[in-house]
Amino acid sequence: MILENRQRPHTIPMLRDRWANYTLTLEAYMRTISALLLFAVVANGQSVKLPDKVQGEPGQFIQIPSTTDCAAVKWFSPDKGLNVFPVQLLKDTKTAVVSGPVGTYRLYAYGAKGDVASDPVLCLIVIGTPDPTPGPGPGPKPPEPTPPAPIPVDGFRVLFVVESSDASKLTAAQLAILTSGEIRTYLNSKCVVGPDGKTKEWRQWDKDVDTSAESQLWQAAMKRPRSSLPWIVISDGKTGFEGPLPATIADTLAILKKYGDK
Amino acid sequence: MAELIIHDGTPERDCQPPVGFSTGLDLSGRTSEGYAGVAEMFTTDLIIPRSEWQARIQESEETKSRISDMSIAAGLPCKDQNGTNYCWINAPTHCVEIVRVSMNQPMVSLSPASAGGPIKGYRNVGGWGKEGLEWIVSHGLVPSANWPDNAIQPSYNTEANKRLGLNYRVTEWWELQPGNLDQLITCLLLRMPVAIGLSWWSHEVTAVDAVWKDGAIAIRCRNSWGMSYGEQGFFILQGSRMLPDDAVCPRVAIAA
Repeated sequence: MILENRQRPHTIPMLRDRWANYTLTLEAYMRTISALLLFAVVANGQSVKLPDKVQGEPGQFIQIPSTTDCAAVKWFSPDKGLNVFPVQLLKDTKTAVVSGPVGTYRLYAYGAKGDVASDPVLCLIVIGTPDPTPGPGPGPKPPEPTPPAPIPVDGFRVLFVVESSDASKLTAAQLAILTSGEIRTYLNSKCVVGPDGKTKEWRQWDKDVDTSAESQLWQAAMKRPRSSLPWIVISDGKTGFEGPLPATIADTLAILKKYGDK
Repeated sequence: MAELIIHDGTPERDCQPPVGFSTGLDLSGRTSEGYAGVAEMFTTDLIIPRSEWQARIQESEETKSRISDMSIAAGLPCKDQNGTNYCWINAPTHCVEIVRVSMNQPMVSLSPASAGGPIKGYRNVGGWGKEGLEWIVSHGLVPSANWPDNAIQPSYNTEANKRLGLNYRVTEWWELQPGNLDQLITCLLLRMPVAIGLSWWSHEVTAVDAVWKDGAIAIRCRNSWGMSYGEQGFFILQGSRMLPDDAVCPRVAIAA
């Protein structure tokens, strides 16, 4: 349904009262008739049309278009919560922009032409789900994207990268990580065995270490981008983690187990 | 660990090497301007304040993150210089083995004689740690499987062994100021081994841990007198006995 409001020609009875007080000549009568006709044409044009209901979502900008022959349209809402964007800041006042939290709000608009304003017209703004009937719901949370393996070869591998000349800047807890018996035992129990058939596939290297005698796999791991030091690279061949070295032995073990215990 | 402790009151006779072993520190060739001449400077801002020493030592004991813990867990034996005078190259060599364990490179026993022999013209004589480490930086160490630890013989100095040794070089290291306890303890708290030359003992050993003993700082070292000395080669130095006259700290070895 489209609400329509036209300016009613209620000026005629008022003029009729005036005429009773005057004796009109023919010439004056003709002039008056002409003016009345002109006024009626103008008054008959004041109209603003709005959709009776517009729906949107919380946080969205919702547009409400009007159809009008007026040069400008004014908008207002008597309901708290509905934010009406100041139309004077918009290029075209004939379209309102609103936003707000979930709820149903009234939005009024009116226009003017000449000296006469139109009656206000109403549009209902429905934000969110107006129907109280439960819908299908958001459903199960989609799985988070799995990052690619930093070392794209089967097996659990870990690389620690440090700057040995800056080791004094590490906290005592981070220093302990690098030689922790618990972490080394875990890595030795979970990492795959290297090409020599004995050494477990984890390394702890200075950022400037010469890796030219190491396997291509480790050389490539060492060339991966890092944003800080000390750094840790964990890979199970399918996915993994790359980031700053955690703060404690417990935190480091927790993230290692996320990939090493699979 | 029931440990052997050497302190200022320990009689000299109790510091003598066991029968069949020797010392060998000889600082006579060491130039005074050698400090930091080749290695990176150990700057003051790197020092860990003395006020933190006790707490850091306690944490390293609780987390079993000391070099001695790591070495024992990895099954890294101490060196055995036997009757040679090569303590001065055994200690830096053991430091490199520890650095490699720390990096989790394959466990390879390295030959002190492969550096000491060429440095001294295959003579069984003394030297000091810095000259040993400088050789290791430029030439490396040959695995013991290819050059036996105490074989001071030029016949092992083959082209193949020379090439092999290049994979066992040190690329980053510090030389510490002689007698500077703050630098020494800082390196040990950073889990970096230090080869220390002790004039009072005419001997060079590997310092591995900072320890808190009898209410004061002390250091745990590993000797090169075989696994039967102390506890698997480990012992404690206290007081002025721990102050080095020559000290080098290798930090990074080639990953091989």
